[in-house]
Amino acid sequence: MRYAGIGLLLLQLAAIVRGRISEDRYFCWAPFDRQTRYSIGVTVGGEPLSGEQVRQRYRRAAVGVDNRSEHHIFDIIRRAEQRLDLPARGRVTVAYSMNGHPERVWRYPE
Amino acid sequence: MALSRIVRLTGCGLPEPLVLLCRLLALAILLSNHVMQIQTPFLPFVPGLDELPGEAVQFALRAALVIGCLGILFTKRTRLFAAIAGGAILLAVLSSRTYYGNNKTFTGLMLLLAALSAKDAKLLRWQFALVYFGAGLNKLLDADWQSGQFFEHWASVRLENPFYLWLSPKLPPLVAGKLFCWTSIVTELSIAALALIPSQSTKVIWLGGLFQCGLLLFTGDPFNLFFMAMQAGLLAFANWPAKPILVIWDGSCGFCKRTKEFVERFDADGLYDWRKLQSGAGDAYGLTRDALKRALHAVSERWVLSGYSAIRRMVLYLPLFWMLWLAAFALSPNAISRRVVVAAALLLLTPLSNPFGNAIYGWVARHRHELLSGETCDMD
Repeated sequence: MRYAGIGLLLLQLAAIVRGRISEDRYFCWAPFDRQTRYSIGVTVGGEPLSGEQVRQRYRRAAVGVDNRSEHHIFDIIRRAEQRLDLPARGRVTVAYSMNGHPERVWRYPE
Repeated sequence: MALSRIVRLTGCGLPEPLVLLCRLLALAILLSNHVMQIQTPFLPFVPGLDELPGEAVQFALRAALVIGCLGILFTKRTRLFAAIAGGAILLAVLSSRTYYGNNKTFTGLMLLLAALSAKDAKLLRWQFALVYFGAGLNKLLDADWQSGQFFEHWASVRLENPFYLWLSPKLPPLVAGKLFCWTSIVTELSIAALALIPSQSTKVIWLGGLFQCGLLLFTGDPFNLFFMAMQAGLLAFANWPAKPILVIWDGSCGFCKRTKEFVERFDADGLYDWRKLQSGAGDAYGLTRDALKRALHAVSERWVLSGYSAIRRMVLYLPLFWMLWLAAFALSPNAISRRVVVAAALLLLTPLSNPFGNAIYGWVARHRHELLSGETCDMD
């Protein structure tokens, strides 16, 4: 049993190493390393979605603050869109500001 | 019966501090209603989990978490139920990118690693070291942490922290931010290093405890389960008494007798061996009758304490104290009450409380024979 525990710890060590070369930084123990203020805008077939529709689509508020890497938001949007049928996919714009820096924009499709 | 069961740590198949650690985590999960945060699978880390019936998976995970927590609290099979509760949280994390969070992952891992532990807490200590190493490393290599920009923005814009807003303008630009950022980085990396050295356990408890409490007092935010899990996790570094602690008390005092009976009610593991000073119990330790009459003494293999210091140390080893403290914290309705609960604990546990603790203890000790009128002396 102890070896299973050591295996779990080694997996995390690998995730910390991966966190240095990946943008999403999942499982690399980086709590509260970033403050990302963001606003998600989505249009499907030219029609904009409401804030509630955005929340249901990504399980995330359309406007909010995330305390992890901004790439978590992009990753969730990207994956949520990719699993939809092509006509249902949206065009997404995320306006975000990280740690109080000037606002930037990320778009999907990229 | 339920209270007696919940505070009994022996005979549960794990070292006492790990049993208490699991119970505190179970309490934190149940009292903060964390169970309801578990979602149906969505964009899972493990492919295929979202192809299972979502509602059924959610119900199963919630049920497993509740059963696991109740089993930890009310049965002796701590290892089994910690594995169930920890496994449920980790599976919930792996099943949804929107449920994923460091606090949940840490809580799940602590429970699972406790279940996988042998007779010591090494796995949990290494887990602690990994968390702080990862957190410290990420900050160390981040430009906004190096420059102080992170804290400047977080404390002034997001938190609007009054202390930071007062301090920052008094210093050159970003100096306050840099001070807080680098203090965090150095502290986190120091804890990571100390956690790997068995002889430094006490420093980890103090440094880790004060760091997390300081963060809580600064932000008022427990970051979901994170604060409670981190505080409970410090038990992996606790040096639990191998033998009962000898408590030498005044057997001629009714108030002392009532106090002894009150403490014994919650000492389900018989951690305190109460001996009257009149029995000569202090002789073996060179404690004079006069000293023993002035104050209660507590003697372990490694220390001899008297008066307020002895009472404080005895409280520290009572599981009920930690459970009540955690319950008070978990049920706190807002940031102010959370700060009060944490500040009260800090005051009690640190030397800051010595002046008034000693004064109150001294007064009670001097007037102990008057406090319970009608009590008869017990001089056997």
